[in-house]
Amino acid sequence: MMALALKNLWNRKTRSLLTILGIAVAIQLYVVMSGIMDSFDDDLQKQVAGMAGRLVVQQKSDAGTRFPPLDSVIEATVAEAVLTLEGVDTARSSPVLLQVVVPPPAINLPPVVMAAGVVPGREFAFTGNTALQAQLKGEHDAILGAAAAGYYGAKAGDTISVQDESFVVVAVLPETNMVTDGVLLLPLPTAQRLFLRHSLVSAVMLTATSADGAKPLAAAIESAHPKLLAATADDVARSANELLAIQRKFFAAVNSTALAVAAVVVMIVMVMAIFERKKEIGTLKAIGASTGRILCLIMTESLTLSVVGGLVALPASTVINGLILGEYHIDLSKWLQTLAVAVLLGVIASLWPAWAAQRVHPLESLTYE
Amino acid sequence: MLLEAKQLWKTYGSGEARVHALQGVSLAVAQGDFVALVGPSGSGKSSLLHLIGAMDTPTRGAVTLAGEDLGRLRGSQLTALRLRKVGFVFQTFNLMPTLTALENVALPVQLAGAGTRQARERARELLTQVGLADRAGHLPAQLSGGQKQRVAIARALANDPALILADEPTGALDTANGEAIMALLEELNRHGRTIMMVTHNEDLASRAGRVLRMRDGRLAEAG
Repeated sequence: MMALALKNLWNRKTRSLLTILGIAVAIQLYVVMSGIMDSFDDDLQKQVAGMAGRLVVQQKSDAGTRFPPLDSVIEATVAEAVLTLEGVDTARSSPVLLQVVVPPPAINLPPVVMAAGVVPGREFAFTGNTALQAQLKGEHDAILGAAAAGYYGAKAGDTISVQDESFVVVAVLPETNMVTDGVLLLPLPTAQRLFLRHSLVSAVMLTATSADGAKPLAAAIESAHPKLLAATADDVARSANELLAIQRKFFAAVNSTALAVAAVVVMIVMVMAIFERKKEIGTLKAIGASTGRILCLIMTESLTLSVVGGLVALPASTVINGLILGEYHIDLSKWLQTLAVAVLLGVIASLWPAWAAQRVHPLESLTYE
Repeated sequence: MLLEAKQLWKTYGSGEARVHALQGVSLAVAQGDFVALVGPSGSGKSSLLHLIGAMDTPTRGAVTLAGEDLGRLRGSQLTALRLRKVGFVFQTFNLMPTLTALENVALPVQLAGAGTRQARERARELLTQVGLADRAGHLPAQLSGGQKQRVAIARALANDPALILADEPTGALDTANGEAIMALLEELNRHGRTIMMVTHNEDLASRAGRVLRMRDGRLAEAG
């Protein structure tokens, strides 16, 4: 019956190829969407890991913890007062002014380029990068995140223009997470002047003096300054998860719809094939093919279409994911998962056609056109 | 007796639209018989063939084939009986269009559980027997009508059935090919095959060992 199934598909090449193409597009969409969502989740993990032991003090709002806290406004004097609290590692803490330079491509994503003004010499407060040797020594020095450097097409030593002023790139950070990768790090006074935010900052990024000192420090800050919110890494993670929840639902809806459409396409093709082949199926039953054999025939055809569609989708989705996310790699576990989805799609799509086929009466073999 | 049918009734529809295709038909066929069922269109001969071949169930009455009471069998058992005990030859050949002649003949053998090699060997033997060994690799579209019917006969013989049922086997063929098919059926019968053939052709019917005439769903035997 396997040979009969494959020959039936081959005999209707155009229909089979178009069906495979439809399935491949749906599965490729599923893989790409899943890949993008996985990259968001990975990035969130990296953000949280980078925040370990640190706090983001921001203006309290109904929106709760935000990261980055772009719409938070704190008086510079209040920020300085927070830095003097016991438990703060001053050398690795800084008030930070945040400003969107290039907006994000979609809602709830970090900006493509975000300026962050920090106290020169305390760049660690924002970057969390202990290996960073370069510092913002001059008024027009800048440190770029990996993605920001890509946006400006700049490397260390190059000059870039921001708000019609020239800045020298003293360092480019390694790839970290979506927030840090898009940063344009400037001296705080320069950022305040450039973006007309004199005596104001967006947040205070603090490092606690001890590994387990972040939570008590957060409590002390909120007690001393009731209008401020001191967010730990866990708070940032929770907030980011809530923002990503919308994306996750959107992607889940797109994925489900794409796969459902693919299943319906296969189902339609298979049901059409059964209507066209009623006499053939009736003959098979007349010569003694059992219901199980007929079901096997239909499911084999359906599975062949969906698995081949899945196999076609794999390299295509790897290339598309690479173009979107900037890295190409073959993840075998993802490929196996994709093939499993293709198999499941084939099984589901074959259920109704298989039921219709097994209902064909042997007397159908005797219908004459 | 290989086949016994007792008081078979087949009724279609209900109420005023009710049609009695068969009305109390009884017959017996012994091993080695060659029986022709003759009658005008609508006489019930094809309905009788369907009941004997376990493709349909009677409204009333009983069919016993190779010792099996068909009325006691479930759907899957009837299918298994058709596979192993009955060989069908259809008027329009009913070959699988995407399979070669060899694969078509091997199909019932594979359905019966044999492996591909064994099934193909059996198919080659049968195609040789019907004179089509050199056409084994041809698709049905590449065969003439007569050749297709010979492949169909070979397929019907695949599992060495107790009974061959042929529904107008020459109906779609010209005179010469029809004659060739009839000759093949006669030869098979000479070698011990039990054959029951439906035909409206009196000349062909007369070449069978027994002729059963049907009219209006009833049977009248004639020689």
